Amino acid sequence: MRASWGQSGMQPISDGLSRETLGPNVHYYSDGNYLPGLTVVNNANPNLRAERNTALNIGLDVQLFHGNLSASLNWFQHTNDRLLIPTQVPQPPNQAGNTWLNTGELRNTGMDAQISWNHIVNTSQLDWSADLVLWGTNTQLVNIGWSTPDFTAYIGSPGFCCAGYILVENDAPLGQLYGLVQAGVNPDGTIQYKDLNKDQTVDIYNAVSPDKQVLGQGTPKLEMGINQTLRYGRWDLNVFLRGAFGHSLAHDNRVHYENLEPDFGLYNHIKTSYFNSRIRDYTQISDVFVEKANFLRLDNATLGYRFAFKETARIQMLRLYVGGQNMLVFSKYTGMDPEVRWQDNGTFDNGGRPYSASPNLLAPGVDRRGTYYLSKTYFLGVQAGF
Amino acid sequence: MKQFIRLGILSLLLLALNPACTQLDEPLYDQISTDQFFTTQTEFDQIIGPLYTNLYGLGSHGGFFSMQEISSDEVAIPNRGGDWGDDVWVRAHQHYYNAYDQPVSNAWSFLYSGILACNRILDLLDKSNQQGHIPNTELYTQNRAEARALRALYYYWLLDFFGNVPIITDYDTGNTIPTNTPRAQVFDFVEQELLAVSPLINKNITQANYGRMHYYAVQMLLAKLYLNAEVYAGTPRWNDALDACNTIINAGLYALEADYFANFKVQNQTSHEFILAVPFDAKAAPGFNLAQMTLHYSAQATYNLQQQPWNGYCSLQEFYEKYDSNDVRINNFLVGPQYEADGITPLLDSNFDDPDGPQVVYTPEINAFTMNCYRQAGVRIGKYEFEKGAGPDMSNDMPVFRFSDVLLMKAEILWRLSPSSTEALDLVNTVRKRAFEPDEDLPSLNAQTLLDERGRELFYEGVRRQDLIRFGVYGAPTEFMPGSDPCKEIMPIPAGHLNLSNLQQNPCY
Repeated sequence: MRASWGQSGMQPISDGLSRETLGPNVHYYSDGNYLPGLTVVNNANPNLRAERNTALNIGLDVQLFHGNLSASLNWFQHTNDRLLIPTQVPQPPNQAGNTWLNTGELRNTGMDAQISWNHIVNTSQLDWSADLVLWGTNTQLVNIGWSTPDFTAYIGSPGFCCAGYILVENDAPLGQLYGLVQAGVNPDGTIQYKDLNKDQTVDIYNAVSPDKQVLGQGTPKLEMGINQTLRYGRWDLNVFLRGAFGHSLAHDNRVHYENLEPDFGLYNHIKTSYFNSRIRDYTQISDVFVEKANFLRLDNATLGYRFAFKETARIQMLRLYVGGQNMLVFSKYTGMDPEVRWQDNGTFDNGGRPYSASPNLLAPGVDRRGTYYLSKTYFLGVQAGF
Repeated sequence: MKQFIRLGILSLLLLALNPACTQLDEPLYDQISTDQFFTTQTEFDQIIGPLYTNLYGLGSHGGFFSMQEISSDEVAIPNRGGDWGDDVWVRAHQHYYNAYDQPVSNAWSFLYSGILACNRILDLLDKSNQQGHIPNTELYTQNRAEARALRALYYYWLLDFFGNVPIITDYDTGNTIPTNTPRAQVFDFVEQELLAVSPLINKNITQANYGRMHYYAVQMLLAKLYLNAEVYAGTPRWNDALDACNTIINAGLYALEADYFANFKVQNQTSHEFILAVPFDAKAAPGFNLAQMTLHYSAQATYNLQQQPWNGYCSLQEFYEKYDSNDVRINNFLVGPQYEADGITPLLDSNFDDPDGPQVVYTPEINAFTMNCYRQAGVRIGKYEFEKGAGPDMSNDMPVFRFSDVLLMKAEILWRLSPSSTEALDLVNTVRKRAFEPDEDLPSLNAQTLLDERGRELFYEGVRRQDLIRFGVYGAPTEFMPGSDPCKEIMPIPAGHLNLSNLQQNPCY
């Protein structure tokens, strides 16, 4: 049994965050010429301090069967407070719209378990070992430092200038995907949303509305990795499976391109299993766009064969192997990649440039249109020893 | 060892005797020392010039200028199928804007960014002056006045747009939390600032201060301020407004261009009508992207644009029909069948959804506003010349204050002072003569004809909302606007700025 507690400061991501910084802006006109100028881009904050990380771990380590089975179980709570966040601040009184503040507190609570079992079966013909890693965390936003509820992860053009995917709320988990709940499709093709507060009207347009609810969680409840090594005679096999469970993703491609909106062309639509040809309505963020994204991925598998040689031979060892990476994904998610999105890289402007330079850590759970298929890799190899 | 000691003593002696060490006023080549700066106007320009770059925000979509235009009856963005489905623009036109709307927040940030930058530079100038680093007092006074005048321009916009806003004049605001100043007091502040800088600011209008605040821009601001004094502060100030207009007119520096559209060409910086303009440039000073904002997606092929336009902004039928067909200014709009760059090949929309076929035909009629608006519906804003082969940013300069506005303002003031004033009628007809061949003078003036004439002449120049309010018809129902309460004449203070400060929300939000 073991337990530990520690507290430390975190290295900030760059120098000079506490200072007023000037940045280049566009050129100013002066007597026929355009000359470069500077403006304030970040306000000074002389009281800025390092982030503080407090970690509490309680663990149990077990070894059995002459050390062949080892297991370790951990409960942890990591609290990050005084988080350094570039915060939008009101102008006035601030010069620039952005100041680095020690705002916010995040609390990660979770368990992880690691079981490593060597030689589960061990005969002269067969040897089987397996490792299992399981972990689950809950990330709670204790305090963001400004009044909530607030929105983040703006959906973006075309069609959604000002609506966000993620509800940011103090004392609530990080990554709450939020929106309306579809009840069905009306005969005229408009979407009927549920009147959650039973006041006979569905309040669609207010960002925070009594007819909206949390539709899913961007962070997983459980993640897992299993590595199996099997040797049978001259054959060897290694399989690594990895999965994440309990998280949802807002499917940005579907939000933008699935509904047949009134008076909109019939081409270039995504037709997933959720596609409903009766819909002729503008898209609002609702439960149908937030999908459970549980997945199990065959990250790596390798099969090898080892040839036999006489001890006097030039070549001592020759192994042929075939394998692949990312060969299979088991998931009901309709997007390209069900992987957990721990941070949001934001929407794009019309020129295809991301609006925000730094990823948004407050918004896990958005599968943006920038996603592309992960490649599958197959390989064939020879390993020789002399 | 002894040798080293002897050598050491010798070198120390040599050093002590070295006469060069006493001469320390060595010229610096890689730095400018404080007493060498602020001697010429060029050096002041390096400090004052960057203040103007904030104005580039006027040209783009989504903020102050967009809200000015779309909340009026001259511009709207209907929901075109799946595009422009973000209801904020429909609501903006129908005066259902609220404190959470991003464009309202953008407008606030745009205006205060300008003000705070001015405060910073004023602080820098004052501190440098106090420390005796500004040798040229005359230039100091003049440039200081210019920065204050620019700040007053932003405060005038805030007064007009948000009404009850905090007044911040210091750079180092410490921990003060801003509070609202009532609209009438903001009016007084802007007036005092303008009157204070008026005798100090640069009066010479040359190419060197194009795009900058100067004496006549200050007079224009005063004219606008007094013209709307009744709205802002409850008491009309027609005679003061008249004086300011006369100061500009009598100076003889500005004149109507022979061609109305000379003001909106790509190379329009030579216009004699510009009292203040934002000198956009596609490369160096980007941000004016009207072509993107208004043109149909397919119109990329008409102008060989580098990016596909957004098919958003258009005008409304009621407004379009205020123009006579022989009014040259009807070309403020793009209307009718559209063609590719050769002018012959019809411009087609492969995804057309209107009954007249695939050719793009801009129609004055907008068939629907909140749903099912045809992709081609609505006449487009064509008053600026769209450069062939351009990227998203345009090089046309954007007038903020134009001389024909001064003439129409003076006409309105004279009419308000005496409804039968022939001078007022003559002034309106002076502006009209340029637009008609042969002349089509108005026989008399009334509120409607004056407002309409201003609308026709100053379409998409950011004055319509203010004009509608001054003539008391901002809340009157129009084509797609059901009518609104008078309290909607000022915008809500953005929620994001209320949360962290002591500000009071405006009534009715």
